[in-house]
Amino acid sequence: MLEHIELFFKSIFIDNMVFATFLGMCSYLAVSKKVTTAVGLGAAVIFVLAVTVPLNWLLDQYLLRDGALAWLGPEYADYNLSFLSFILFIATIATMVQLVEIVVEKFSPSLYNSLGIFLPLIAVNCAILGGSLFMQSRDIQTLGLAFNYGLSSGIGWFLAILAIAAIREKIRYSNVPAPLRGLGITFIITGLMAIGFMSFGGMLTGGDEAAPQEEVVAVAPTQEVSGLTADATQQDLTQKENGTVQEETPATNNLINE
Amino acid sequence: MGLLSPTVLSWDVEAFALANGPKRSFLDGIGNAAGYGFILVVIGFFRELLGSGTLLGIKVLGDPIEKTGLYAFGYENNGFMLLSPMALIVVGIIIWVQRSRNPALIEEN
Repeated sequence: MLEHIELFFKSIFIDNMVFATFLGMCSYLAVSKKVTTAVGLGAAVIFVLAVTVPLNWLLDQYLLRDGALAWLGPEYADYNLSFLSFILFIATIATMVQLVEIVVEKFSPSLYNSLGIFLPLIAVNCAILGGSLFMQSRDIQTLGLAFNYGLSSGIGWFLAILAIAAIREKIRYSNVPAPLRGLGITFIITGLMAIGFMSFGGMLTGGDEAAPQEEVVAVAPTQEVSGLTADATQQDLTQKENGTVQEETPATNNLINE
Repeated sequence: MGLLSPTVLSWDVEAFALANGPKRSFLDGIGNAAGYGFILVVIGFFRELLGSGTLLGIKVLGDPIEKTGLYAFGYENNGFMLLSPMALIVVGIIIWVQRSRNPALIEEN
């Protein structure tokens, strides 16, 4: 359960598709003029990612990776079909996008018209294929984790396009320099947002990395001094009390500094 | 120069190929690719020059550790340019320059 929660927040904030890996930028820039269409495209991306990543996980696990064909019989155990990853992943994605297009055209013609060519372009959206390829390269272990990864990557992309669409609706009333209007200011805002999202990088790893570094800094000087102040260390050993030893080490540090 | 900011115009490729023959489509593809490569080189130039003071790995601004060249006068590398989000901001500035030179490209609000 904990690894599900960790993967969920990591994919949304730390490895955000748009702000950390810069995938899916073309539809992100082109469809973010209005919040309503941005929400429609974001929902389509969430759906396609949440379906294709687990499907491609099954393909990878039982067809593509080294020795995946062992379930067919022992004579197939040596095959490694991972060079077929791209064509199979793309086929899965194109099928799902075709399905989404048919459903959207049937149930929401206005959204279908406002998305235009960008709905079928989800099939070659780098965020979608990137989700499947990251799933393969990060070696995600279970089907549930693969579904979680696809869903949360889609939610991250959705949040990104929702945020930029809201900002672009508001910035229409601002006095932006004329040559920067439209795409120019959007690029710059996206860059600033990406810098902001870099601060999420310490969310999961911050506590683990900071502690050992402090120990190294504190221990190293005392080991150097131990030869020089042999009398002091012998006294420490005879006392054999942790409290006194810890009190002594700052004193030796002060001696070095002086 | 009309092919600048090609990532922005990438979806024109399919529309162009539908409306024109294979020869013109091929030239269009070559032109788009060349524009994309040109932008890539321009961004790489500024990010490498301002970020680490080198061009193609050659220290054109002097040595930052031995304080030679420009660094002798107190110049410092802007490590911010090495971060990936700065590429987007450089692209934004390139669009700004391009549209200032060619006002026909300015978008309406």
